[in-house]
Amino acid sequence: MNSSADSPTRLDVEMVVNGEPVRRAIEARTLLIDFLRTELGLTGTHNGCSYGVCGACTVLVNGVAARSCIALAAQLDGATIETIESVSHTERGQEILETFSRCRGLQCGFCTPGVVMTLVELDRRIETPNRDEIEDSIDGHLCRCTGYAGIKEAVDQTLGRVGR
Amino acid sequence: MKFTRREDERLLTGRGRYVDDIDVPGQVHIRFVRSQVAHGRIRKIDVSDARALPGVYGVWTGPEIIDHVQPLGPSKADGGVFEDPLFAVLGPDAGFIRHAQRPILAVDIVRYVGEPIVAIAASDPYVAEDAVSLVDVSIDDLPPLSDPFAALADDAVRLYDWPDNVCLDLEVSTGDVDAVFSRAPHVTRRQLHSARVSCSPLEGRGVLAVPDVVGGGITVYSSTQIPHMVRDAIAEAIELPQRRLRVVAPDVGGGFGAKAIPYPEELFVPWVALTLGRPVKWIEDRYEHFVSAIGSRDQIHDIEIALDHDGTILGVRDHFVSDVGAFSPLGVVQPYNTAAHLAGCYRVPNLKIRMTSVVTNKPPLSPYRGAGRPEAVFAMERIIDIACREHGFEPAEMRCRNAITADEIPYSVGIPYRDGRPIVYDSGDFAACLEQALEIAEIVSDPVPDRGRPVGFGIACYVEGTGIGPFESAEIEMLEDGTAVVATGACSQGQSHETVFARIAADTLGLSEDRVMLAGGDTGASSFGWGTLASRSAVVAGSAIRQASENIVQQVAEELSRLWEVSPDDLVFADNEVAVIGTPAMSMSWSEVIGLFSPKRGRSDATRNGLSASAHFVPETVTFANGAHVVKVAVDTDTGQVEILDYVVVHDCGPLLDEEVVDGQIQGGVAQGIGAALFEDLAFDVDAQPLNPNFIDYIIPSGSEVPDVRIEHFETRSPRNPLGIKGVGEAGTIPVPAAVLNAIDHALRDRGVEVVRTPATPKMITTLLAKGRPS
Repeated sequence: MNSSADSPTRLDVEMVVNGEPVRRAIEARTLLIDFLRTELGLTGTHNGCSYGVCGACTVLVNGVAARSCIALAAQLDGATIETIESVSHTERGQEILETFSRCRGLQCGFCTPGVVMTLVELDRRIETPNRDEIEDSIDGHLCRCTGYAGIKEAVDQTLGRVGR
Repeated sequence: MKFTRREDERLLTGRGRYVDDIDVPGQVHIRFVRSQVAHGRIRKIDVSDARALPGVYGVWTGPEIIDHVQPLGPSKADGGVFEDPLFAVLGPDAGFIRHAQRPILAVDIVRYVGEPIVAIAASDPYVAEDAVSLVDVSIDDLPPLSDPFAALADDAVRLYDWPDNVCLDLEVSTGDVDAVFSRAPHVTRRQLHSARVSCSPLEGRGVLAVPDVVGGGITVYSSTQIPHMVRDAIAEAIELPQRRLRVVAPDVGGGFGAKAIPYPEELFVPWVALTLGRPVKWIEDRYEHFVSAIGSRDQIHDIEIALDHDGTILGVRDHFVSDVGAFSPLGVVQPYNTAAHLAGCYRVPNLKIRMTSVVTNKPPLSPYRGAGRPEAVFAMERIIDIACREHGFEPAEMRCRNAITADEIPYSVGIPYRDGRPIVYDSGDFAACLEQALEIAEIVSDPVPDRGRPVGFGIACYVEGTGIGPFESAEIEMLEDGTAVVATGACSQGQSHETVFARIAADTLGLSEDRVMLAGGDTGASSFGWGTLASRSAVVAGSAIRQASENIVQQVAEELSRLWEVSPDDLVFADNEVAVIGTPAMSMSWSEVIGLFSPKRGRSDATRNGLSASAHFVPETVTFANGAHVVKVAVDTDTGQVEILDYVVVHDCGPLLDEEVVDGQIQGGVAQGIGAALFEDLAFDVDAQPLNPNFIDYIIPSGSEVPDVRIEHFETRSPRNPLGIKGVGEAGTIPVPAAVLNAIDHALRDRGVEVVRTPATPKMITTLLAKGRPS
């Protein structure tokens, strides 16, 4: 993505992405999602709307779920990023993925990486899961295929049933 | 890790391959300059600054490419192929259809906001976007058509070189409707409107065209439901021999109809790739999806129903107008589907339907999940409820009285289906299905309020012609290691084909599922194919795979019965081997079996070319699925907000190939139906400017708005295919707007509210409540 011949301003950024340190010189305007997909080849993160509504592009930035389509990569110099490609690296992550599959939480799979990253964050962050917080988080993801029943079931089974 | 569907491992670990995930060295990126006015004459296009921008590889306008990339004519996809037989059956007096040619890039005239005018190829999408901003297009406004009735006026501007703006006017009837209406004791008439909506798969459209390293051919990856038809359309548009063209639908992030026609961009990108000699990629953004992928529904019905003293339906008369926007690539499909499904589950002895499609300056319209049926069910099931209320019938009882029962099957409706064949319901018990749904939902005529909010029940039933032809293909190649490769023209956008179709082949061949690999949606793997649309893949591709698998079994049975001197009937295909029943010593693994057919054995027997089979399932006509939905809602009379308290579906798609996949299709379909019922309204102002082409203002449901649907299956076998099944892909969506709006009316039964248009937004409901009388 940086082959433009009039070479606009380039910035050096360093991040830890899925546990690996990376360093790149990028255009200032490069979005995080394009940095991940194009510079690093991590294409599991998907662009569904490019303005932060649909949630498909969700990744974890310093452990917090964030929309990679409305963040500039250069703003995140020094950050730790986790994407869908890293989830299966841990046993707990594998359990979450298996639960998603078992509960039929996906059909076409395009929105799925974003939903999974939100669930990974909730699973880690919330000690006493709060029903409203979980619902709000899942409502931040649009899925056009499943009608959400399988997603909700996967969330429930992962976090423990919370008043649904 | 253990995964339920075979698709899941790659999709859940970020290794899915959607078209934008495929990168090829040297690729350039296309962006389009799109019209910002709905109707106008292009005066001047200045691309000089864009051309001069470093990183730009090419800039093209309509006049520059018109001789190289042919405009798109009417699509043969889905129903196009049936248009001639249908008109032949209906006869010359039934009506007419007109088709407009759709330019790849606009020439002289623009006809909708979003129409592509200029294309730019650049080193990366950012630079391409920069170049787009440097193009200067001057357009002289022409009067925009934003309303189909205004477009029908005598003095309306003409969008094409036609005597008026009508692109389809057709009538179909059975019985003597006019006579029945003149003497019927009860007649109810209303205007009912299904709003325009957007398919909005989470992945938009996208194309990557890669010239072959050797050979002068090209491989096109497209986010499409119809790779074979896209191949044919590209070959025709740029005059490329089919053998030099391979079209692949990789992982596709939802379709729902938006990807079921060939698009201008899909034909243009391969031409650019051949012209530049480089891989070329175009990825649709969300705005482009709203303004340049098809919209759908957008029908206004003027419908009337005639009832006897006891509530028996005597006849239905309907004239509906479809606003098809600037182009209607599938012409007759959506309106005729509406006509063919209007009578639905009920005996309607006298039926007359006129359909008028009108061109306007909105984006093109084409079928979306349900494809004319949700509009039909909305008109029919709403007019039934309104008539029941007007004339004092109980909606549930009235429906049961009129619904077709098992002993009336096969039931002839009296009009042709859109394949030209007579509509004959082949299976089902519509009355029993409805009664089961009513029982599960515990429907009552006067439900108690929920936390102060009035509560209502809504019912809607439907039939759906599924598994339409003309055919679907399956080719099975047995490999020497004892595995099978199954190729079919049907391709998945989330329907679990890899799991379900592999299982059909595995069960027939006696192979474990992990030894069957599915290659769907690749014209390089199967020469013929039709695609995934119209609730057809399980029926037609599933049947073709079954037939091809049986052909393999038959070839092996002939060979082994000769070798072992046993009857073919004594052979058992199971557990990855073929054995003689009751004789454990006589068995052979699949890889040994395939060895018998291998040309490597060096025998000059011409049949020893390996072991393969191909089958093309050609259905005689569609097979009818049916079902009943009952929904319970609470309406907040202060805010107008509707909450769905319970949703019950009883559905008959025959024997279930995979219950969880079927349930997933229904649950997901209901969610889209709830969107159309309560939220989704692709709106345009009087200048035909889109008002909400984004996910902020165009609301698709999120998790909180969609209940867990209670689903029951009512299984009757179809006699029209070897699996006995009926399609299910669209079913969940079809009756939802009707059922939900019926429930809202029921909840507000004491307040004189009648909702006649989707979506029933809070604003609409509070406005109707304020009026306190029918809208």
